[in-house]
Order: sequence, then C-alpha cells, then structure tokens
Amino acid sequence: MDTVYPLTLSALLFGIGVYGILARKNAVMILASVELMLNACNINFVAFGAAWNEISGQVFALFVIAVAAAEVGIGLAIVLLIYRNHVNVNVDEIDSMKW
Amino acid sequence: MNIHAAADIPTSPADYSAIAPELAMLGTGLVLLLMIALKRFKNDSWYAAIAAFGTLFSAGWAIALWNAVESGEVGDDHVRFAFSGMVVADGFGAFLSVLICLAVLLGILLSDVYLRHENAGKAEYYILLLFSAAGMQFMVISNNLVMMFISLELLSVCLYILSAWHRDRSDSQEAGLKYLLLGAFSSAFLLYGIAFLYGATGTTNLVGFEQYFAENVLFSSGMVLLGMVLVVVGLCFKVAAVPFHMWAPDVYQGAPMPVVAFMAAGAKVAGFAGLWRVLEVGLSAYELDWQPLLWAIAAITMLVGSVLAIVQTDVKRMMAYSSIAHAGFILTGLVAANEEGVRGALFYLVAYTIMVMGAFAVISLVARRGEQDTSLEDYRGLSRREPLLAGILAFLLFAMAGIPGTSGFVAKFAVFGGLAGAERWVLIVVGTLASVLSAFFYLRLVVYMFMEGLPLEAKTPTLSRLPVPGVSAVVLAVTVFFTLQLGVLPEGLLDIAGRATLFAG
Amino acid sequence: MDAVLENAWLIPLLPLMTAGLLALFGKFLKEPLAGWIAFLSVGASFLLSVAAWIGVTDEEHETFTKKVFDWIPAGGFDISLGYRVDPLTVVMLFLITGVGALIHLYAIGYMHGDPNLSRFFFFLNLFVGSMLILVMANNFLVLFIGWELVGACSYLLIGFWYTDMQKSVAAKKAFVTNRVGDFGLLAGMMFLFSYFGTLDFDTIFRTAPSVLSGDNAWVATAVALLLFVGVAGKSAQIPLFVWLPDAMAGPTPVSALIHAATMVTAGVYLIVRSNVLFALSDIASIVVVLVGIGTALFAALIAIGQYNIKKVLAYSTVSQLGYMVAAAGIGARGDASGYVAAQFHVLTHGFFKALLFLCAGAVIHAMHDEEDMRKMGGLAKKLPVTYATYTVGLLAISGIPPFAGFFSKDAILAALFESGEWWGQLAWAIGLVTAFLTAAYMFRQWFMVFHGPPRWDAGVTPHEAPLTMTAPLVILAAFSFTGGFALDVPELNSLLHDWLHPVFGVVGGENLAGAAVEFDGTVMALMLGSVVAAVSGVGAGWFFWHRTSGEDRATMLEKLGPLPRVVREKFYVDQTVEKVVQKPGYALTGALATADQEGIDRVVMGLGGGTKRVGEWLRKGQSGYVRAYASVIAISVGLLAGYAFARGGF
Repeated sequence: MDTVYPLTLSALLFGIGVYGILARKNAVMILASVELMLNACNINFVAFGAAWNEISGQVFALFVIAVAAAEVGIGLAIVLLIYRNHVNVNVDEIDSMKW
Repeated sequence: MNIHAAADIPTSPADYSAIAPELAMLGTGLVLLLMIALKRFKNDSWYAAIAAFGTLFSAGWAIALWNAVESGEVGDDHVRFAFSGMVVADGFGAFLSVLICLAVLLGILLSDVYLRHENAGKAEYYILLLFSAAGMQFMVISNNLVMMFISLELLSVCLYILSAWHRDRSDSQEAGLKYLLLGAFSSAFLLYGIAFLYGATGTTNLVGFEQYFAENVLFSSGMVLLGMVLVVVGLCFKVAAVPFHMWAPDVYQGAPMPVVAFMAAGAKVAGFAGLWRVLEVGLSAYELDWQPLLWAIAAITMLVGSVLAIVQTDVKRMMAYSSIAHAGFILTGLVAANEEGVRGALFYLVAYTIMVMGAFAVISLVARRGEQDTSLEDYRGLSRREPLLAGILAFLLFAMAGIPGTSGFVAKFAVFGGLAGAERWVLIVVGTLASVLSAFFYLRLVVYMFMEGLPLEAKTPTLSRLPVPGVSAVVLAVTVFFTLQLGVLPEGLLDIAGRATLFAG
Repeated sequence: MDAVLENAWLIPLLPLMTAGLLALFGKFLKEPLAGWIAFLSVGASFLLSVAAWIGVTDEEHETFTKKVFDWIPAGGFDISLGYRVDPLTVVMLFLITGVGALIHLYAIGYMHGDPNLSRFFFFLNLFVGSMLILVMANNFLVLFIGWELVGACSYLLIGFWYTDMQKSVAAKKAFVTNRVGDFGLLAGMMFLFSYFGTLDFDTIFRTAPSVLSGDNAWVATAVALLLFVGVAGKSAQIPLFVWLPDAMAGPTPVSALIHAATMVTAGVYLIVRSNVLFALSDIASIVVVLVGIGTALFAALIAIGQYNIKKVLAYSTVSQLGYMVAAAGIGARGDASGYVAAQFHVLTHGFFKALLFLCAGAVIHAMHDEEDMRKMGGLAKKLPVTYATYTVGLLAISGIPPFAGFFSKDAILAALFESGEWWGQLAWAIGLVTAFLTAAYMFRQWFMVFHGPPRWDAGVTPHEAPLTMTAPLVILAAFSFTGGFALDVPELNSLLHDWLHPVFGVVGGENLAGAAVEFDGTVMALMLGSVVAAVSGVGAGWFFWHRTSGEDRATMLEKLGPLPRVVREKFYVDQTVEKVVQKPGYALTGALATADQEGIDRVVMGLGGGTKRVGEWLRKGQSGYVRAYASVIAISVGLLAGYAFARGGF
C-alpha cells in the first residue's frame, strides 16, 4: 500500500483536531480534539513503520497511546476542579488573567 | 532497507550507571509514595527533607557521572550510549543534570516555606516535583526522539498538576487548565514532527539521523524540514519562546510561586537541552535551514519579552515576560552554533536558574499569604520596611538586567561572544537593544522599592514586618552569593561549561 | 617607585572600602564622623595619586599596566581585570581625588543636619571609587564597568531626597538617557572585540592603524560614532543633553562633583583615551566637532534665559563640555593639538565649575534653599568670601586673562582654527560667539545674585557659610586663578602638552598629541580675538543686566521681538522634538499647532514612552482566552510549515 493514503488520513485527522481545539469552547471537547491529533500521529508512526519495514514505529505508537491516556486523565481531573468552581467548563469564561 | 540506529554505536544493553541520577530521583519519589501508603507524618517538612536528600543523592550520581565522563572512563571520546542508544552519557547531560538538581533543591526549600504558609502541603506535591525533575533529567540525556517525547510528557504532566495545586486560588486552577490545554496542543505538534522525521529517515535515534543524512542524498527535504519545524515548535513552547510564549504570563501569574520558580528554571533547561540535541546532533546536516529560523525566534523573543514586561503592573507577570526575554538570550547561544555559544548558553542557564530562584524567594515573601501582594504598588517603599529584602531583590534584578559585576552580565557577554564568533552582528545589536529595554522594567521595580514613598492607601498601617523563615534565608544567601560569585569570578564555571559542550555530534 | 604603582589599585579601593563601611555601619556613626571618614579616604587616595604621579615620571613606567586577574578567560575571550597608570590617568586622578576631597569637605557643612548623612557619603564615596575605576581601566570592559557604576551613583544621588517626586523623575530621566548612550558604547565595544579579539587598550590602540585600514576603514568610523553616542550620553551633548539640567535636583555638592567636575567629563576622557580610533575617521571627527560646538552655542543661548541659579550653571556646563568635545574631535589635524586642549579644559573647568557650583550652594544655603535668582541680589556684602571666590570663578569661565579658563579656552579655539579644515574654522567662529555669550550670561548671574537691590523673601537673613564650606572655595579659587598659566601657555610653558605626549598613539608616523603651540602672529591674533569676545561679553552683561533698569530692559526685549522668549523657552527644543518624535501622526496631518503644552520633560522618555506604547498595543494580543493563544500557535505553525516547504519542497 502506498504510504500516501494513511498520510492523507492522518493529515485530515490532525486538521480536524486542530480545528476542534480552535472552534470548541468546551474544555472536554478540546481534550478530545487533542486525542484526535495524537491519534493522527499514531497513524503516521504505524504507516511509516510499515514503509520502512521497521518495528519501532509501532512501538512508539503504543507509547503514545499510554502517554495520551495519562494526559487526558490529568486533563479531566483539572477540568473537574474547574467545574466545581465555575459550574461550567467553557474556556472562554476562564480569562481572569490576561494582558 | 533498515537503518538500525545503534549499529555503529558503542552500547551496552543495561548500563544503569548512565541513568543513575534519574533513578535516584524517581526512586526517592517512589519511596515517598510508599511512605504515604504506610504512615503519614504530621509535619510535611519531613517529606521535604526526604525529597531534598534524594535530590542530593541524585546530584551526587550526576557529579560522579560527570567525573567519569571527564576522565574518559565512560568510553572513547568521553561519550557512551546506553539502552540501545536511547540515552547518552556525556558531559552536556551530566552538567545539566546537576543544574536540574540545583533547581529542584532550591525549589523544595521554597516549597516547604510556601506550603506551610498556605496550608496546602501534601507529600504528593514533592512526589510530583521529583517525577517532574526526573523527566527533565531524562530529557537532557535522551538521544532518541521517543525518549525525548516521553520525558517531556513526564515533566509536563507533573507541572500541569503542580500549576493547579493551590485549591483555594481559582487563578491557580486557571493556570493549570491553560497550561494543560496549550501544552497538550503543542505536544501534539511535536509528536507529529517526530513522526515526519521518522518517516523521512526510518529511525528516531538522533545519531541515526546524522548517519542517515551523511550516507544518503535526499531527493526532497520537505518532509525533514516539516518535521524539524514542528519539533522546534514543541520545544520552543516549553522554553516559552515567542510566538509560543502566550501561556507563560498567565501560568506564571496563577501557579503557586515555588512551582513557577522551578518551572522557569527546570523546564527551560530541559527544553533547551532538547532543542540543542535535536538540532545540533540530529539535524546538523540542516544547519543552514534551522539557523535562520532560530535567529528569527530568538530576535522576536528578546524584543517581545522585554517590551511586554515594561507594561506589566503585576510582579509575577513581569517576571514571566522577563523569563521569556531570557529565553531569547539563551536561544542566541544556539543560533551561534559554535562552542562559545553553547558555553555561553550553559552558563546563562546556570546564572538564570540561580537568579530566578532568588527573585521568587523574595517575591513570595513579599506576597504574603494567599499571594495577595504581587502588584508593583505593593513594592512601593519596600526599602523602608524591609531594607535587606529590598536590597537583595534589587541586586538580583540588577543581575537580570545584566549590570556588570553580576552573573547576568557575564552570561549575556558570553552568549554574545558566541554570536560575535559566528559574525551574527544584527542579532547582537537586537540583543543589546533588548537588554537596554529590559533595564527599564527591572529598574522600575527598584525605583518603586527605593525611591518612591510608602503606599498612599490605608493599607500602610496594617503592614507588619515580613517574617523571613530560616529556609528562605538559606535560599537567599545561596542565590545572592552565587550571583555575585559568578559575576566576579566566572572563570571556573565558564571553564566547566566549556568542557560540557564536548559531546557527540 | 615600583611599590607605589604595583599597589595603585588601592587608589579606587580606599573610597570603595569606605563606602562599604558606611553602608554597613553608617547607622552607628555620629553625624560629622561619617563625613570626615569619607573625606579622609578620598584624601588618602589623593596622596596615593601624588605618589603614582611621581612613579610615572620615571621613564620606565610612563605607562604602567598591571593585570589583576583573568575575568572571562579561555577560548576566544581574553578579558582580564587590570589597571593602567599613565600620564592621562594621573591627570584625571588628580582632578577626581583633589576636587573630590574638597567637595567632600564642603559637603560636611552643606549636608549638616540631614538625617541620611551617612547614606549620602556612602553614595558619594562609591561614586569616587567608580570614577577612579573608570579612569584607571586598562581595557574597555573595565572602563564600561566604571562607566555604568558612575551612572548608577549619579542616579542614586540625583534622587537622594527621594521623597520629592520631581527629583526621582529627574533621576529616572538621567538614567534613561544614559542607557541610550551605554547602548552605543556597548555596541562599539562589540565591534572592537570582533576586529581585535580583545578589549585591551594597548593592543587596540597600537594595532588600530594597521587593522582598520583598507577595506576595514569603515569600521573605524562605525566604532568612533558608536563610542560617540556613549560620549554624548555621559557628557551631555546634543541631543542627549536634556538630562543634565534636570539632574540639578540633587544636592549641590553632587552637582559640583558629578555633574560639573568629573563624571560628565568621562565622555571627553573616552575620546582622548581612544584618540587613535577617532583620528582614523574624518567623518567621525566632523560629526564630533560640529555636535560639540553646536552644543556649546546652543546651551549658552539657553543659559541666558534661565532664572534658577543652578540651571544657569548646568547649561553653562553643557556648553563648556561642548567646547571640550569639539576640541577632542578636531584632534591633531593640521597644527592642532586638540586632544591636549580638551584635557586642559577638563582640568580648568573642573576647578572653576566646581567652585561656581559650590558658591551657588553657599548662596542657596544662605538664602534658605532659595534657588530663584530673581529673589536674590545685593549679596556681595553679606557673603564676602563667597562673593570673592565666585568672582574668581566667574573671571575664569569668562576667559579673562590671566585666569585659568582663558588659557584652556584659548587653546581650544586655537586648535580649532589651526586645524586647517573648514569645519574646524567654522567651529572656531561659533566658539568665539559662544565665548561672548558665556561672559554675558555669567556676568548676568553675577549681577543678579550679588549686586543690585536685595529682592529677598521676607524672613531671609543671609549669613556666610561655615569654614568647612568656605575653605574649599578658597582653595578652588586659587586653582582657578593659577591652573591656566601654570600648565600651558603658548611658547612659554608646555608642561601639560609634554606630560601628555606619551599617551597618544601614532598614526601615519605622527604623534597624535599634535604640536606644542608656538607664539606667532596667528596665535596672537587668536588670543586677541578671544579676549575681545570675552570683554565685550562682560560689557554686554554689565550694560544689559546692571546699568539698564528693569523697564528699559523690557522695552529693549520687546524690540528684539520673539527672540528672548524663544531663548527662555529653551528654543522650544523639547516641544519640537516631542512633536516630531512622539507625534508623527499629528505632524503629517498638519495639526502641529494644536499640540499640547505639556511635555517639556517627556521627550527623553520618548524611547521609554514609545516602547511602552508598542507594549500596550502588543499586550492586547494577550487576551486571556486559551483559544486565542492556541490560534496564535496554529498560525505560527502554519507560517513555519510554509517556511519548511519553501526551503525543502514537498
């Protein structure tokens, strides 16, 4: 299989993730969008690993999955903390510090 | 074809001495974790003491490693790769490892005072601090992008939590959330970049990159360059370089003071080490492509940091912009891409770590409980109330402004010396201009402390003397001493930093 | 005398150590004691300077340099801390420690009763020590350290009575302007370092003629101009002179020591010290001469319209500094010996201007802190010693022979004329006009303060100052009288010229000291010209401000049209610069006329203000919204990716 196909897929996925971060106001959705971006990277790793006939790409993907899980876990915990104080998790309302 | 990165590299499969400092750091964290499970101390300072002890232990290992590297015990050319080329034992890594230990140690001392003060103490705090430090230490020795990414995540995730640590201050939580969201966003870019570099070369090993580029002529370098800029983005975010700096002011303002000090010093060290290893070792073949990029980033970082600091009215926020400007100065050491440049950057990192720790120690004392008093107004007439504290802060600010006789001056001089060697005149002029601009805001604070009277508001009578705990006094004494010592007799450290730059690549 | 030179580092160290002592134990010292300790340390430095002078007279030690320790070593750097004692240094040492000691003595009386006396002497001693570091430096970096330190001390001393808001604004203004100058000096040093690989004076000045020739000739111009930016900041030249008049907010001894006799001459010293670099560039010389003489004329005109006793002296200082800079700029062209003339004037000016300031201090002291000359008058009888010594200083600065100022000013004018360059002779003509103006405004002050009917406020009872204040006046008056003919007189005496001769570099086989002046027709004509200018200035001052009554003067002023007002308003320079620099938008739309009255002092803050405005604009980007931050990151990534593809292709 030509590497171009998975690369295109991952680029699209990455783009959707970036869009989600910029367009969504809900902190949870932003975290989900980050997940999309990380998974786009994983597709790339696996695809390149296959292209080079090399195992480390897949290993890397596994690491990334673990790291992403940790990151989202922490993320949700902080979002929960914010939710307790602000009652919502709209990032546009969390702007007490600026300039 | 299969480029096995470690093919030509002397390596041993499980060489624990290469990662001994990191193991010590992690081990101390685990010990603390176990202790919590078994029995809790009533006094949180015990945890601080254990963490500090572990850090010293780690520093001891790092120094031992440095000596081994120096004496050539580690292998030919004073360098040894370990764990299949995942990490590298060299002078550069050992040097920065020791520096990180110093940052952790001072950070622990500041934290102990702060946490007792704010009643926010928990053993978990120190565990996170130690794990984050381990992440930094792994980062400075990593020779593989996988390793680098995971270390970066380890240190970042811990810092996210620490930023949001203060439960009673909503600013602290806001800081944590902003740091987390933006940090995750930029990590994704970094990872995407790593994927492209992997795709272009078939390896994630930095030395492997170098070999690959030496042996193959690429038809098109677009993918490599794309990977490169994305990696640069991810790492520049960590060191708060413009235009990836916007998280820094908000996080510095909101996060607990000792965390900010630790982050300002440690995360910068780790980020710069990462940048240096990726660019100078892995992508040295593309030096002509990344130099203009870093040039531009360094220039705008110095200028934007200095200019924006001038308009701040909150001292913590001002320090954030100051830290951005310093990141720019350190970056110029990388732009020079010669030995003097690295030496200057390493010296700068040490000097900055010490200065920023001392400055935050004072700011934290002045701020009082709940971090209320952090505006410039609160510093009005400080010299009358607290002449010693004001004098110390003034001295550290002078150092940050780069007044001769302090470490800050030698540091700036050293990085500019590297630039002069590389004939980067415009950047020198920009840097000098930025340092002149930066003098404005440092000295404005000094003026507030020394020249202008007491605050006019009714606040005045209620201000009691600031208690200075012994631990803070130790931090202040150490930082002032070294800032002065490195300014007057910088020879020793410059010499050591000069030798630390001799690493593979 | 080896031992003396080997230990010459004690000269700056004594005042510095005393400063440290005062900083630590100042609180416990009873009032006059702190002052006496400070005075004694500077006096001891003076004695050591005398010893160093004797040491240097020995042929072998004409220029004695010693490395104390390596500061920033290894690799491409070789920066060592060291000092240098040569004839030029010795001249400056005498000035700084001699005048410095006298002013310390004076300050004991003047600052009597001030609650922060020990702090005052701490700063003052720190200043003397720093200034000594500056002139004893053996390389540019050490010089720069001294340069920064004296700037910081000046900043601290201007704002000494920091409860007064205006004073701390003046202090900031001084600091900001000086930073602009420092930027030039630092950039110049970077250039030097890159071309010579060292900042050492000896090496640079010895090799400069060969290194900076041919293709590198432009470097000499660039370096000289950059150094001159530093000079303009420190020595208050156009356009950076604005800080000096405001610096008069500090205590009067400070004005005398720092803002008249020593620190402000550091710029002139720098040019004389780097004579080789300036001599190598014609463009730089033209700029230096014209800026210098322009400053001299301009400040003299402004001085005429001032009513504050210290402001007049401040503008007069700016004007005299202009003379020195012009002389140093002309250097050794033609038959000139401009460097020597400049250094000569540094010395004599140090004597008489310190004297005038201290007299002004005595007057202010007597008048209960009144500084407005319109409220003085008729003080001659009440303050006999001050009056007599002031008169000596007055005659010296006006250039009346045989007082000190006559010889040094004449040396400058002669150097400008005999350079044989058109710009030198143009500067000579302007200098002559300035000499006339100098005599006029100084006599104006003399008449306003000491003569005529008393115009004191009610309750003011002038009284002569104590001995600690009058003794320095008398000593300085003696120097102001003898300092000229004792040092350098055409044909008869070339003491200073011969003394300084070895300091100068050699360019094109010629020593840059220039020729010692011989007495011939031209010299005589020039001297006569100077005397005529000075005497007619005195006449004008007498006629206009003494003989003419107030009403007549008003009618006369009216006939002159808007000129007097223009002069009094300092040529609207502050306002004009504000309009041009700070409000270009207004200028473009022709709304110049509506620009506001404020801001005489804002100009200097132009740099600060402009930056601040940029900052205010930039900070709006920092909106506090996470998504906005993320957008900036995303856009930047897009740009960088574009860069990657543009360089690498797909």
